[in-house]
Amino acid sequence: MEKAIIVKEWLKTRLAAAASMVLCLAMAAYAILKINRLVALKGADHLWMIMLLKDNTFIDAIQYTTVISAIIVGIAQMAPEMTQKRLKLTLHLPYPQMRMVGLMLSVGLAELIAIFALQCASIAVFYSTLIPASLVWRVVLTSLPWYLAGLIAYLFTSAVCLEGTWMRRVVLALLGVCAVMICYLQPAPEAYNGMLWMIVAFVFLLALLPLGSVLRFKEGRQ
Amino acid sequence: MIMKKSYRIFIYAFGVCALAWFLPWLYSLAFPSAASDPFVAYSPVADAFVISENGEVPSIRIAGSDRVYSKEERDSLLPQIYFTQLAAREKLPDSIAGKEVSLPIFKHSQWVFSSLPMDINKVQPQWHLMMESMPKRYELEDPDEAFSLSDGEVRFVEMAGNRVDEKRSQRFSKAFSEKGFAYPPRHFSANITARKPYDEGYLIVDDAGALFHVKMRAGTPYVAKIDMPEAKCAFILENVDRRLLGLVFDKDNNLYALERDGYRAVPLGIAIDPGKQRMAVMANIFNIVVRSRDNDGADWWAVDADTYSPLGHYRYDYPESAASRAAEWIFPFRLTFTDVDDSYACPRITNVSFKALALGSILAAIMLVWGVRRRRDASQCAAIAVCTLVFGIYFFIIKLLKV
Repeated sequence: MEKAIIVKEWLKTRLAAAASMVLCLAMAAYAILKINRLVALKGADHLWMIMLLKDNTFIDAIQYTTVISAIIVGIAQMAPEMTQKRLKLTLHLPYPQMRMVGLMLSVGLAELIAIFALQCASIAVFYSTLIPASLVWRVVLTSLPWYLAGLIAYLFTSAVCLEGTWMRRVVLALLGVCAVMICYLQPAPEAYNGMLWMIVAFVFLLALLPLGSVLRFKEGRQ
Repeated sequence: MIMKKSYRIFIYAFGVCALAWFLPWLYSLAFPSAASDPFVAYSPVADAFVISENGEVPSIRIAGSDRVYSKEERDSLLPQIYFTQLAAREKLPDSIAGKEVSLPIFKHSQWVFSSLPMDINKVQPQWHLMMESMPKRYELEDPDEAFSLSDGEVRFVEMAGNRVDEKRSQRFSKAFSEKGFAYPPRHFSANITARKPYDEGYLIVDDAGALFHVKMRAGTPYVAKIDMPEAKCAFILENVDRRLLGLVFDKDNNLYALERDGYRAVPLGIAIDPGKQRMAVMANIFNIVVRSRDNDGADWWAVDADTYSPLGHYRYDYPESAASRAAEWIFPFRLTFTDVDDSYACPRITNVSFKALALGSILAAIMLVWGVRRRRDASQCAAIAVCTLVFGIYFFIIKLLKV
């Protein structure tokens, strides 16, 4: 049954995941080309100077791609459940309902994590030819809150799509905007180091939201 | 059932947090309460602070006096600042307070330095740029090497090729160990720019609080240990007059002027926490004025430029605006994730106000009446009332939205 659910979710989201992958990799390539251009025009030492003196990581171009990708995958996965009344059918399958929703979310999260990992790795591999590992790690740590923002956006999108009442949808969407904004408040490199574990814990807690929306759907709140 | 309860608690808790963050921010946006400092400088003519306020009624006066001065009179009181005005009006004297003065002397002796807590309270990179202090062609050039002190040794990297310079790394490591440098360093200070008159490299505070002066001269290390009490942080100065090498704070936040010749550290009798207060130093031929600012107000200290003896102190408290007083009655606390004094993101509860309990009580009473009318059970009514009392307007709005 698990395999069937995973295949079902993959069939639903593969196009969206592919589009998200293209978006994320295209923006990573854009950031890399910009860095490459800077190195070609002014030399690698200029890149070092700007990184160390101006606190610039040169990867600002990718920061919102994670959230956009997550919203695309979330809508592609969860919107058909409500618009085509599939959720009722899904919940009637001979499988524990909460595990079913959990598995659906896991598929979406796994796709996003794979996309984000690929984007992050492409930038880190490129940077490792120009700067030492500790500075590459600084760039990765600076971008980590953006990836977590993507996961937050996905879980809120799922919760909004699975929610039956418009009032609650609006409230969830506003809370989602707040939660995503938190990850973009401080642009300084490694500013979120002390808070990363809190955001990770928050992502785990957010899994409650889509599950709660399904519970409310089951209660007939539409 | 547990899932449903957890879901509701999570929604309420996150809703309260989001409102505690958003509402006070919206309020401060709608009712800005900016406080600005007057311009304060020490007059060598009147031997007192001159305060220029740019309020609704601009005024220029001497501290402790009610007499209001004109701009022309102020120019004469502060010749070290308005010397171009005085020269243009041919009113610049040959000497002031027993010192010979002229336009070149004023220009040569004045400098300004400022530091922000935000620049100290941040995750510093492990790599630092090293300039050549004695360049072959005499003019300073942009650095082409960076160094790191993070792994218990000095490691130099040639930036263009990202290659470790083994020889230089070994030479610097040896020089550091000979001077007894304790890794890892606590604080670094350097001005990395070719647009300065000369390069003095770095002032570095090591893990034991010892202060070191480090620079690269013709590719070779120059490392000097400076004799002074345990240091907290240091700021290098590379001014035209070449008199001071830097400003240093000891572990008790006492400020020292560090002279370039002989590395003499002179206590200025001023205590500022550079990690919490914004500092500015304005020096001239007569005096050095140090300003520190925090959220409550600003302090100015003046010391003699030659002897460093104290000349005076002036304090200005920021007036509390009606909007911020009203906010204390509305918001029980405020949740923020950033602060102007650091470059970290983390949740912090600020502006806790017990005055907001009054509004909380009224809202709790409304909630109780609403609960009784809707025939909710007593324990549920009590829980809602207590939450409204503690979290005030934030919880009330969440309840109003019927989430």
